[in-house]
Amino acid sequence: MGAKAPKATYVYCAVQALRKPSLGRAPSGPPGLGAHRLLDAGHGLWLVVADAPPARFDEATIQRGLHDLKWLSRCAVAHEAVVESFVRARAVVPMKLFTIFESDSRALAEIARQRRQLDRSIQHVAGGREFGVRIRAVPDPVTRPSRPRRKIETGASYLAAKKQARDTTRERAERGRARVERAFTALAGLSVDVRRHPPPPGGAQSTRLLLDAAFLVRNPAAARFRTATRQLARDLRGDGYGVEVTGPWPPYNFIDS
Amino acid sequence: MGFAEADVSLLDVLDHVLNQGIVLSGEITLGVADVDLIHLRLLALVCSADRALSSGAVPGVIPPRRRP
Repeated sequence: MGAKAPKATYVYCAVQALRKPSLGRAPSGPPGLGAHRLLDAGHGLWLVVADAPPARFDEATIQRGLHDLKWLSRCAVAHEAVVESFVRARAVVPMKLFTIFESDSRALAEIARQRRQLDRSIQHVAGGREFGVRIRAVPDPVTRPSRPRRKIETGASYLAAKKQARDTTRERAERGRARVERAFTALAGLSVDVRRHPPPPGGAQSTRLLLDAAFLVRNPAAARFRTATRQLARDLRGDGYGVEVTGPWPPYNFIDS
Repeated sequence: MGFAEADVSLLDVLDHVLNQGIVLSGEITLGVADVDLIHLRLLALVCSADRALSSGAVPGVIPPRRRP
């Protein structure tokens, strides 16, 4: 049944494991996709895939869907949840959302073509989980230089007060930058690999983002890494810096294509 | 729902699955411009200072998705 309807192959991730992975843990994927299946790519590598009915997953439909955040979010969260369910394997290589091939054999052929690179990536990320860390200056009225209560009488004293406020802010930013660099170095020391994202367009100035980085951490160090980020968050909070940690993620940032 | 109302962990998930983890490029590929456009909008939100305030700049670890 359904033999006439062509089906494309949606790929969630590649999983390396000594034994064939179980699909039992995996939650359901993006709406409209078929049940999860495994494709044996040989030498302990499996692709986690699903049938993608072209009516719902052709290029035009997906392009339209990109503008519908509700749909896009459901797909993204479901995709990530499926990938996430395989993280206990020796290595999981997440695919980008909407990685779709014409058929199983086309997906396998592509894997075979990139196998050498893929194996290098697998070796690199094996046993590692990714943590994201962002540090930003939080505008904080308490630590902001207080405005003099008295009415400023002269233009000169007004300008002097303004300059002092500006200098204080600048010094704080300089100190902050140095502290953030030290924090980055400390966290990097607990990691196997690091990806530091460049400041967003518009400049760090406008976003107050001092650090946006992903850390690949292997298990014995993971607990220490978490402790270090918590300590960091406590230390920096008093100085008006927010530390945001996400993860552990599958190693999205550490697969080289 | 607009991007602005999307919650913090959702933005992070989108950021990860749209931008990263590319070894294969599928045959049905999204226009690079489309993804870039979305990604820029996400990036602006992910990096915005307001976000730190709205999320309470939670120290510690936020799981990528809420576990039951």
